[in-house]
Amino acid sequence: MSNYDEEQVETVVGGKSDAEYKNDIAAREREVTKALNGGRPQDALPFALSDPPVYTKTAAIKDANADIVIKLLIGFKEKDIDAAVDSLDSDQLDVLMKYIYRALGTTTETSSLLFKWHESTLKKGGLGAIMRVISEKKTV
Amino acid sequence: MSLAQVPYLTCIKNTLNAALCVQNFGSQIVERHNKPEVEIKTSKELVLTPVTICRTKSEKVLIETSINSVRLSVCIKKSDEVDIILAKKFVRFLVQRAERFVILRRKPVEGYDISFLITNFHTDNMFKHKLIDFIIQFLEDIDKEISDLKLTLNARGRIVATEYLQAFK
Amino acid sequence: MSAFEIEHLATCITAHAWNADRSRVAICPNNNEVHIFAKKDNSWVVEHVLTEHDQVVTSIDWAPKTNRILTASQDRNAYVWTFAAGQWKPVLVLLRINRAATHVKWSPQENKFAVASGAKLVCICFFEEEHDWWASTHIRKHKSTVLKVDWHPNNLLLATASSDFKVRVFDAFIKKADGRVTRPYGEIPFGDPIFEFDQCASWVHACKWSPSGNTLAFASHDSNLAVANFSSNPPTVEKIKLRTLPLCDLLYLTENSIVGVGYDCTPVLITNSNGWTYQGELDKPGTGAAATSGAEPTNARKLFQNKVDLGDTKTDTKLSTAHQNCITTIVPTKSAGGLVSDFSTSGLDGNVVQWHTKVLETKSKLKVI
Repeated sequence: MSNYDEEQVETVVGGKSDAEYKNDIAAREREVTKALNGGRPQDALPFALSDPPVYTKTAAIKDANADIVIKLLIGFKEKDIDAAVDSLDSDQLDVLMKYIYRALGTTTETSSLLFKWHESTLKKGGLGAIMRVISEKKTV
Repeated sequence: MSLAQVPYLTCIKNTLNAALCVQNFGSQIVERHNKPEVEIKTSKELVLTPVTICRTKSEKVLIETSINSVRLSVCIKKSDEVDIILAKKFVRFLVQRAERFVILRRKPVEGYDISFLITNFHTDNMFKHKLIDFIIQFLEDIDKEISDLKLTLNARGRIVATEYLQAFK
Repeated sequence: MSAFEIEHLATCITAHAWNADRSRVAICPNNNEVHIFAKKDNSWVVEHVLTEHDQVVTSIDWAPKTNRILTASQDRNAYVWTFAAGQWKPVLVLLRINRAATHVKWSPQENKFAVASGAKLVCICFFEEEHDWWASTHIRKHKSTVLKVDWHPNNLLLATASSDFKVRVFDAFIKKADGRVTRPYGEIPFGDPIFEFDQCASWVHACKWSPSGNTLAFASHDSNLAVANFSSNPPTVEKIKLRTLPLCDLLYLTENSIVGVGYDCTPVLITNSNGWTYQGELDKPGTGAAATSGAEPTNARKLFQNKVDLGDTKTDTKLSTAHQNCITTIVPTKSAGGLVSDFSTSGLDGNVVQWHTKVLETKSKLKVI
């Protein structure tokens, strides 16, 4: 009985199909590009963080979505970050924190901007937000 | 500590503070054993999502968490070949003294220069906040240590060269 | 009057339990022994040392009515200790498990007890007169170690918290111990969960029934607290996201106020008035909920900040909280009029702290309701 059903402990069920996520990502990309071109990345932040593809098993979808969100995050000016973080609710903060860690693990050139994101989000969301990044199996 | 390092170290500090929430946990696989779950990884539900924090391409840490232990692996900043050699020698020196270092892992995780393994037994006996301070202090010092070594090495090289070339004056 | 009294009884304490009149406290100093302290003059001195386990003791429970101590250890055993002729005598419980015992709890009527274990099951133990020993039956159905158990005040329902991210409620009716009683959810086969809660996204550290048994609170490692309300069937669950580090143990002060303790080294208050909300740290001068639930960094974080900002390494890195390390246990020590007026906590820093609810309320300007 030692390892029985261990898989089941891990499974995260629910959410949308891959095709639906692909549509979401396309919509998100349009919104993000528009905001970045207009020089107001903060407008697209809540939309970028809504309904992340946590349920899919396809890594490519998560990658595609993360690329867009991270592109938006590093499109920010440092002075705008605090205000942008302040406008988010606790669920969005949790998602944001997950993307910050994802970005910290991959991108290297913009790390100082990401540390600023990390600091602001931590201030608003508390250590609980980091707890949820490391403990939740629903990764972004 | 250089000022540019501050946000990087603060980020590691806060992440460690969250990661180091460990408890005593007897193995559920082997009878009467108590093993760091982050090392054996036999029960998936007891191991959490690992996170990496990169500052530059060569300077990064990996934090892996489980129910009773945390593994922190560090990649030391290496800007040239001399740095690589020095880092290797320095880490070797430390690892040989791992016994006294308590939380040092004998062998670094693949792809990293040096690893720490912190279990619930360490957090039981040492205060968590002091333990984190120690690690951050270590990260601060190791860069300084290596750049000092490099300076000494260069100075020594210069003297040797001068002495050698004296002969051809 | 100070809000609390600290007793430093060991370097590290894994569990503590009080006797009925609170004149004695049993603690485990993070090894295979259980020390019983009694108050002599003004200091606590060791009165008895119980040494029957051979690995670290994980949990202690002291039955108030029958004055029996129950201990569990990672050596897979549990003992029931009875006091006779000035000595504590151990009786081994036939657990029939092959992994660590993690938590024990007497049922409210003290005719049986539950032992959680790393063998992914819970033992319900009862006394068999004919054999003169404590026998046990197993509740399986868990997919990972069971970390905590708690009895419903009706002596029948048992809640379990497990590291498979779930909280389950079982009917732990034992015919030999309970005799003829009406069971709240009818004739459910023994060992089948009545309810299963999957609101947690990580392992569940604690679960606790409210004094009336109408609600069940549980806290998990993803810094969430959830409260299940059993007035409807199936129960409704309310989830509260915490900004702090995870909670390890919970205590209902009243039907609508919960004190949580854990990795943040200080007790926090969560209350219910048309919905559960996090109120703030109890042991902290405050101006009410608004000030404490805002963007205040935790003590530990403040420390780091100082060090980073000021390059300050010489300041004493003592936390401003009463406990200096993770709090693992919280138990009530005095209740009056449906309110737990005193409670005690113990933690990995080796302190047992006795708190006074009234003084804490005044200090933190938080309201227990």
